[in-house]
Amino acid sequence: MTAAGGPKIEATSPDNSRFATLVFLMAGTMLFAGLVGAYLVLRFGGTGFPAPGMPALPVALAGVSTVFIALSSLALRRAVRAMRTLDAAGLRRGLALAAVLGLAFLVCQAIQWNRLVHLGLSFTGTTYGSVFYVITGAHAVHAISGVVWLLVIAVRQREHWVPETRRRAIESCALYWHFVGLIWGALYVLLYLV
Amino acid sequence: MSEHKPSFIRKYIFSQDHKVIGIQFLFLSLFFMIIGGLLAMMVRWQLGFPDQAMPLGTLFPENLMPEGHMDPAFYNAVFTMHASIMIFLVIIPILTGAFGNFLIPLMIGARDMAYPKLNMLSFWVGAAGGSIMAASLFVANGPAATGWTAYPPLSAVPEYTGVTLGQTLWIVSVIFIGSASIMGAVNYITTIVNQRAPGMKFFRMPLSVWALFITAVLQLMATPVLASALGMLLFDRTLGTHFFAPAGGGQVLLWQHLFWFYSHPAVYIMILPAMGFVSDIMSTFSRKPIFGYKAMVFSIMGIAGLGFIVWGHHMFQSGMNPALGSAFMASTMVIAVPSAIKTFNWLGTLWRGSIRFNTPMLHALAFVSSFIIGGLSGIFMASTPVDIFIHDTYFIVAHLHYVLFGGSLFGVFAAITYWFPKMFGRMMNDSLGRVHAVLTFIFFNLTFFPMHILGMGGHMRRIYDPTQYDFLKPLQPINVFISINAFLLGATQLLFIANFVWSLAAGKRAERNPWHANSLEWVAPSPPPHGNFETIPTVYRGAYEFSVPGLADDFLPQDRPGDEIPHPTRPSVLTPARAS
Amino acid sequence: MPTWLSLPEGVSTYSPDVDHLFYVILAITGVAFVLTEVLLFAFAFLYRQRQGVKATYSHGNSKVEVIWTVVPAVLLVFIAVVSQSVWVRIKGSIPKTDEEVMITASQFNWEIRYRGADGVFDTPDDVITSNDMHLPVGVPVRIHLRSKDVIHSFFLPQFRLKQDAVPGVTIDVWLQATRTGQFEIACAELCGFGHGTMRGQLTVHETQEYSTWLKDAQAAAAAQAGSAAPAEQPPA
Ligand code: HEA
Ligand code: HEA
Ligand code: CUA
Ligand SMILES: [Cu+2]
Repeated sequence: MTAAGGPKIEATSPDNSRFATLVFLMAGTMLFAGLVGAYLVLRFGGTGFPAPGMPALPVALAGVSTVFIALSSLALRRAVRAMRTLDAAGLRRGLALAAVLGLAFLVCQAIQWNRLVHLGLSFTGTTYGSVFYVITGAHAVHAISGVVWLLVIAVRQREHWVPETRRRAIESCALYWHFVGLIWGALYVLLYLV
Repeated sequence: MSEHKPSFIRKYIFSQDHKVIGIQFLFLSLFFMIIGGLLAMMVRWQLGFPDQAMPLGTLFPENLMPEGHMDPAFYNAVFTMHASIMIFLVIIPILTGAFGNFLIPLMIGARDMAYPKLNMLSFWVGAAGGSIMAASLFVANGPAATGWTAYPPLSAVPEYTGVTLGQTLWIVSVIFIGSASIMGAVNYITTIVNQRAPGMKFFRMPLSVWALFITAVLQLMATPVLASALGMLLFDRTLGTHFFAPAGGGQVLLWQHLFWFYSHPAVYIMILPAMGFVSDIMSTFSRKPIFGYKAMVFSIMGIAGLGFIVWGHHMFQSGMNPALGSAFMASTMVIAVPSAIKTFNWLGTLWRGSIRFNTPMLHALAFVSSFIIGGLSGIFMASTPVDIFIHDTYFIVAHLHYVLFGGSLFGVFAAITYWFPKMFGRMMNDSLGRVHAVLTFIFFNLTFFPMHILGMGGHMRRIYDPTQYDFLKPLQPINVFISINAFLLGATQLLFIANFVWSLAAGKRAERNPWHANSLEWVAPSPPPHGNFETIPTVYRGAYEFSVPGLADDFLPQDRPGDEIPHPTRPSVLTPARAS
Repeated sequence: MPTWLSLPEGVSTYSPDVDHLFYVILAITGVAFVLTEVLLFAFAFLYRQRQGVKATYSHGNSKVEVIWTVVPAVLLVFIAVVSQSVWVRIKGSIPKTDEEVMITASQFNWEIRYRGADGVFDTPDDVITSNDMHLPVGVPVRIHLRSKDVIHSFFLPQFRLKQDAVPGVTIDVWLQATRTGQFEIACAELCGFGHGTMRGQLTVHETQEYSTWLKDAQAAAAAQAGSAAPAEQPPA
């Protein structure tokens, strides 16, 4: 599209994808900012968390999730480096590993929710529960789409080289996935540790 | 550009061409403007003649309009939908959707948006949101009836209003519309940053582009916060959570904070693009460079930045800590300064110009005149003690129409009449346009200025029958006066509709640059083909070189090679070396 | 100036401050309004297109930019400072008083409570009226505002008093009437289909008159409480 119509247009930067992804992620950040704002108001404006009679959040289990998603980000970073050094095998390995670790993160989250529900922390019962599930849920949705994206790319990447369009897809996907990881890191500190 | 002719569907319905998408947004919004306007007419009938049956009222279902008399619950629904439609489906989509799409690539010299597919998606998601809002007008128990601000608990618990599905659809619809604006914003920002034609430095961009750029940033940062709030409200309504319900440990004011954190920036989303258009139009029709270009750019940024820290001025009487109130008063006073700068720069642009009074210019002048009034009334409310009295009175209603109708909508009229030739390749009828502009300005003021007086009298907003209160009875004649002028104002819009439709079909053909303006969209044919430009122009200067001394023409397009003409003030800009 | 062009009569001790502030802002913005609108139309007229007259080529002037940045800024800061002093006077601290009223808003009426002989609220011997408020003139009165269901807003136009009643919290406001008479209570926050008719009466009595009214009401309430079931309790 943009490249059409003579050489002049080249004067503008051709690579939009990484920039656009970053812009898009700003919106994502604000979404969580809104939710975290609500969390703070509900927590410090009310009786305080955990609500009386409600279970405390499983710090350790969530810690495991955190480790998984962190490792996943690292794996993806190595994948991208592999791509840049034209090491197709390394790229595939990295992508697959990142996706699997991402899945592990989601499984951990599922186990955690399941445990909390059995301990009596329902979605509607207390705002403590509601806001917890909404925030972690919103994050999980982002994580799921990230994992799917990673898997798609990993499966598609069979050649020993990387087509330009996919190179951009991978770059964007990496940015997105690191964002999901970072957000989780912040949430872990805020929800579980503070 | 590939030469094969795309099918009708691909060309006009599921088009990825930013111009077609922009025009789609325009038509959709104008359609909703008629609905929103007719709803306003109903509001005015009820307030002017509370005890008389509304003409055609009997056409409505009995439960809404017993014998044509508006039911109080229905009145709430009517003004709620009036406002929701006007804000979410008229002003925001026209300013950012229609003109953002149409103008940005043309004005920065690009062939299209960075992401045409995303752009198309943005329109269709927005259209879906609009359809949901429209559908909610017809569901059982009526549409949303909690004001466009949808304060819980009223909006969170169906029992409190009797409205069931309608309110839920309202929430869903706004979520759709919000997502559409976010997609649009991502596209606009990327396009403006990465797709500018060679030589189009940031500080050579027309103010319209600057305004749309900053507005996109506002939308990007503010809308997701509203989305989070809407999500929680939806859960409260449908799943039984208690985010905003004190009984379950929720916080009532939480909604107001989140809502206004979006909706105050949103009001600037609704004015900044209009300010940009008006700046360009005033410069063009004064045949004079815009006064204080950089000051204009920086005040747009200032308004946008400060816009994020003033939301509490909607909550002075909400029970929020009075100390916080003071802080928000301070920030609100400060935000008036950049607006002042813009106002005076517009005056400076007129100063010693050679002004042509074509339709767009008349609307632009009406914009400035009304925005001054609307802005100044804002100062009263910004003062916390005064706001104690005028909060939730017609003083606020007057303010918001002076900025939204007198500001945003006059900006929209100016933009439509100015860029119509470029959009459709035909001129609008200028004489009819001027009549519409003048009449609209007159009836607009006769309609909304008296609302200040109602407000001073303590007349509450959102009440369906002022004559219920003894202290409001003396003010009723003013309500009647307002209503009559409102009908005339509405009827005047038929002139616009007529002119618009007629010119589409039979307006006289427009050449490339009918207004002798400088910015790049006028370099392209009218209407521009797919891909916009025969060859991407190179930019040598800003868009405001009017009446340059020593030139035959009184305008100097951005893309005309500059080295041939002497330039007293800023020679460096004109050497191609610096240009590309 | 015609009555409807000025603010309605103010009958609370702080209403003059609010009104004065209103007129101060009216004066400042009025000047700004006249100045800018006159210039706007004058320029439009003076500099209309004329044969052989070319527009002046000017990109602006940083000196005037500074002037019209600083002047409004100063004026606005001035407005803010003046406003703040009034705001503190009204919201800063509630004058000491033992006249207290508890107002509970609900769709769609104002429940007005006075303490019974026991001197505490929410007990069976409370005096409870609906949309009918009585106050003494000349003494500060503390009003506890709360709501049973949705947000309402307690609005006494002539007293320049408006405060949202928010479910879940009790908000205290105060007023001191400067004359006796009958006044209307309005609801200023959209609260449902009855919002437009959520109207109450405030009667301001001479102190004597008021205390006798209260005495009788309390006696009646006490008798009522003694015999019948206790008055229904408001939400915790
Ligand atoms: C386009 C939309 C728009 C714009 C631009 C503005 C601009 C401003 N608004 Fe407005 N506002 C709304 C839309 C807008 N508003 C809406 C829709 C509501 C109602 C929401 C609802 O409850 O439904 C509202 C409500 C609203 C309130 C809440 C009132 C209440 O509910 O009690 C307040 C309070 O501070 C306020 C203040 C301001 C101020 C200070 C500005 C300033 O930005 C104005 C600055 C401009 C000027 C000051 C004029 C030009 C300057 C000069 C001529 C220089 C000289 C001036 C001086 C020296 C003072 N607005
Ligand atoms: C851009 C936004 C916008 C616009 C353009 C308008 C336009 C109008 N508004 Fe709107 N209004 C709001 C935004 C807007 N309003 C908002 C945000 C609120 C607050 C709601 C709330 O409290 O939640 C509000 C509330 C509001 C109220 C207060 C209701 C209440 O508090 O009880 C009133 C009352 O008079 C009113 C009147 C009007 C009128 C007469 C017009 C006229 O200008 C309309 C003129 C008509 C058109 C511009 C369209 C063209 C119409 C036709 C072609 C139809 C054919 C004509 C005839 C049949 C006569 N509006
Ligand atoms: Cu109660 Cu409005
Ligand atoms: Cu605001």
